[in-house]
Amino acid sequence: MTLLLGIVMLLAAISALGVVLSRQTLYSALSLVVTLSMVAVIFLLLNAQFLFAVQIIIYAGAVMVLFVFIIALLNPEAEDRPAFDWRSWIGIAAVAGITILVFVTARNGITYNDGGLRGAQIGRVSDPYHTFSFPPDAVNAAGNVQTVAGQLFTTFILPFEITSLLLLVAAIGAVYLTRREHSGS
Amino acid sequence: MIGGDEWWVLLIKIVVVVLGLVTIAAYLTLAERKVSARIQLRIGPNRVGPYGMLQPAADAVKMLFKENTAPSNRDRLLFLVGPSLAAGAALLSFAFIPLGINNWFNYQFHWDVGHANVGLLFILGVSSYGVYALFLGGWAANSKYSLLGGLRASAQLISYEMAVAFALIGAVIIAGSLDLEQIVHAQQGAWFIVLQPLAFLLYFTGAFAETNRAPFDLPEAETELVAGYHTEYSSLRFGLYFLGEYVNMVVVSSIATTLFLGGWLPIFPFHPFDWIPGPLWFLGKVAVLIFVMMWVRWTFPRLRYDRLMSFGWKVLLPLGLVNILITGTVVALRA
Amino acid sequence: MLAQSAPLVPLVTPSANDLLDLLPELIVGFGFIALMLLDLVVGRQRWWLAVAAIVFLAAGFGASVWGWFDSGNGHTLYFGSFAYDKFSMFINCVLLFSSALVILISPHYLNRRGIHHGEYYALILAATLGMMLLAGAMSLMVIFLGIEGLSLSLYILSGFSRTEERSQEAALKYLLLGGFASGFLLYGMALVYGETGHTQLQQIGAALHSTTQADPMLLAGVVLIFVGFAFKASLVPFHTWTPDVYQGAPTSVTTFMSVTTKVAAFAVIVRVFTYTFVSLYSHWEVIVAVVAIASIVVGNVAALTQTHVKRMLAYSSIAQAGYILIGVAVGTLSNTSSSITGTTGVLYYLAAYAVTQIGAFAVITIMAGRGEDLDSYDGLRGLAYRRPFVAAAMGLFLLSLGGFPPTVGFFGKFFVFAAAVNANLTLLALWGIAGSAISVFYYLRVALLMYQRPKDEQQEYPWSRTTIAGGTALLAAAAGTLVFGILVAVVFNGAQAAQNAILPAIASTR
Repeated sequence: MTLLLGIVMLLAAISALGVVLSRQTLYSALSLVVTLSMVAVIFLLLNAQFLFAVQIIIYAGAVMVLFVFIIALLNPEAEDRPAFDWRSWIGIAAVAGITILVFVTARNGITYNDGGLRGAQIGRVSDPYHTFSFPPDAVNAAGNVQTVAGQLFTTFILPFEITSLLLLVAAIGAVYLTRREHSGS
Repeated sequence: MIGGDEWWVLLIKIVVVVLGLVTIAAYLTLAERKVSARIQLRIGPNRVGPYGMLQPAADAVKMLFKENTAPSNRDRLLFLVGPSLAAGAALLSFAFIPLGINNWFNYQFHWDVGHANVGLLFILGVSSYGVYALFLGGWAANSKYSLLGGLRASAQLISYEMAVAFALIGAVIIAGSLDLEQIVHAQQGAWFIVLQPLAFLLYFTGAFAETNRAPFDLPEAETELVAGYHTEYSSLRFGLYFLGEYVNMVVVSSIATTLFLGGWLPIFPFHPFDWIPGPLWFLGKVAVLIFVMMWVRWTFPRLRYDRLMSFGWKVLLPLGLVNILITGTVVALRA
Repeated sequence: MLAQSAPLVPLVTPSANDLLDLLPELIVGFGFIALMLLDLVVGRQRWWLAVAAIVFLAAGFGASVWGWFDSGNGHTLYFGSFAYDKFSMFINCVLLFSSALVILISPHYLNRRGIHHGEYYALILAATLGMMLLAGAMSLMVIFLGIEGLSLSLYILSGFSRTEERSQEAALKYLLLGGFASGFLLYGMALVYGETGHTQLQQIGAALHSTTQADPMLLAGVVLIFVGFAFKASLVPFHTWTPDVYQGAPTSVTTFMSVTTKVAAFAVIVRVFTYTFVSLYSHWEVIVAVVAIASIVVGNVAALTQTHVKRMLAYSSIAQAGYILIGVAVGTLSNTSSSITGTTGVLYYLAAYAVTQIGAFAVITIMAGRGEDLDSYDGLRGLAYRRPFVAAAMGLFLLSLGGFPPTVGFFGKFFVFAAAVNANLTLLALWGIAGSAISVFYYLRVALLMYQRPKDEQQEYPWSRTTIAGGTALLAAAAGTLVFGILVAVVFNGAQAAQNAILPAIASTR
């Protein structure tokens, strides 16, 4: 399982590089589809089945389809993309270096008080902030959707409701910016 | 992880399902021709084998030996990815559909390849890759008919995916689970087609669009687009598209069977009906639905494209929402 | 495995009181939706929408004032996702007041520009709601949603003039760079969550409480979050979008975003950095101080060379953000028993900045010609002879921005710099004072231009007449600039009370 996880992660990383390095814009978008799908598979291997399905349906099935759609329709030439020169390589190297450094040096033994992922116990009702850890097997036993929905509609109800307003704003904006001017307004 | 089978059981299941689906798809082409012939007062294929029963094999051989032409300005990679993905996504979506459960000598045998407690979402997720297959295939061919066909296909699929998913939610609410086996179990009292007639109609209507079949077969409308997204494909690559299309018919019919027609449950829960094994019941129901799909194809004319889209967004989707609202209210009140 | 098995965790429904305590946000949110529907009813009489918007904002203001007295020492709502404290109510009041003034100057301006659509008011309310959510956010998720809420609305508002290339360019620039900044912010939040295991600020603060050392991953998260906030507050080096967007967007929108976005961004910066990452102060202090100095230098120097008021005010707003950031860099340090702390200074400065900046931009908005903004320096020459009151008000705002007593601007700077000196950060205060000295040049230059004789006495000026609503807004801003400057204690005590009740309450700050 660990080997499989490693392979999938490697594929995710390679396809993520493909997003940046592809000469053709469409191939960049398709690489992103692969990346997101691989992330979904990582969820699956970690036994988070609901996340896997949602990741696929939303990203691969809805968001990226529209990306691919638009890119293929506009069909930008490969020359339109900025070429990589030595400066961009220095930038890439710097970002990659810092990222690797951060992750390599992470978890150097500092423990924080009650760092929820490690410290919290399941079912502490007395917990004033109502946090729990969710081991995948327990979640699958209780029902993936049920557990997510239970959290979504109690602990995280406020962010959840705000999201709906956010989508409304986005919808209004899309309609406003693209609608044709009707006569006389 | 998914399912609890030994690896060799899983392997056998995969081989059986893939071969089975390919065979079924091949014979569906024959069925399609027979049904259309009967509807048009013809006889249909009857030369190869008795009643034309070997016609699919002949077709397969013919397709394999055809010249594999391809446009010179194609996108080489995507031209391959398109058809493979079409067949692959269709075959994979079938993996999670349960054909039945049997208890043999204390060994519980599940007639499915994979089992997940969000199985329905898995199917929806996997089948969403089908959009890429049609669109990329059409785009890669670098021909305007293909591109238009691909565009239509993806726009249509995206639009109807929503309506279809909304229709399914009604059944899911009653069953209280996304686990397909649980959903079937929940129908032991009454099939969901009785409790959710509107949802079934919505789903089945949407299914025509999802499978690009008449009267929603705009992506390959031959009168305007030659053959739509697969205009430039021939030989085996065309075969893969064809395979994907027919397997998709099986998949949508299977989903409809599982969610609305009681899956592998017999029509009446007593003898002699429950002597027939579950998988046969399942396949029988699927066969009936597929026949209806063929029947519709050879009976109704094709819609205009804008009507198709507005039908999806302005009729199917709102009706689906209303159905969810009503179902949710009733379920909440009864709880 | 049954379909209806027992839930993994006991489900605790939020109490109804939580909803009641969310009243200001609910009113504005309801107003946002109501305005969209009202737009269908009013037809061409769009000024009704402005009236309705002001009614909703005023109601929200009233609810915030009530919340100010009701919240006491403050508590969190929805399992630690949102704060109900004097701090958020203070910010709410500033935001709602600013939004109402912007609505007042809008209808006439939009009419003259030919972009008077109903969505404008709804989007202003949506943006205000996003900012209010940001002001009270106690969870990383709510912070992100608040930022996205205000950003989305502002992207659309920047491009509100759909036929004008400049406006579209502004919207696109803002959108692309804003999306980039949101990515940074989200990545930072993910890292912080990964390290502490919490999204709620109070718990993150508790998890970090006793430790002053930190993983590089945690620090990377903190820095990335700061980058996300700094972009919204247009701090150097994340300011590049500011002049172009401020100039390209319709002026009423520029008025709105230049004020309220900064207020909301600094509210969240204070809450997250000064109070949540308080134990990491030694790590982020330097970064914040450097950014503050850079903003002051770049903003002031660039503002010197401008020839358009909108652009000049854009650069000056960068410098102003730098001054405010000094108050953040002070953190919770204080070496004397003096009551002037960094946070109090920031709060006072934000209120002062809001009334002053709105006033200055309102003048440009009110003067706008048909289809174009008359904001070049040349265009302002001789304004005092044609519009003595408008010119006087503009002069007052410029003096306040420059920090002359007895305006609010002076006291804002005074409190922030005093807090820095209190905390032995005298160098930082000196940078701020030097920057203010430079800024006097370009503020006074505009003020003097208005009082110069026009080149051509007979020339017709396309300046718009001042409407009653616009005049009211100008008067309110001018009154605020003067009155709060003279009655310093009112706002200062408020700021102090807000600071004392801020959540998350960390033991070491008391």
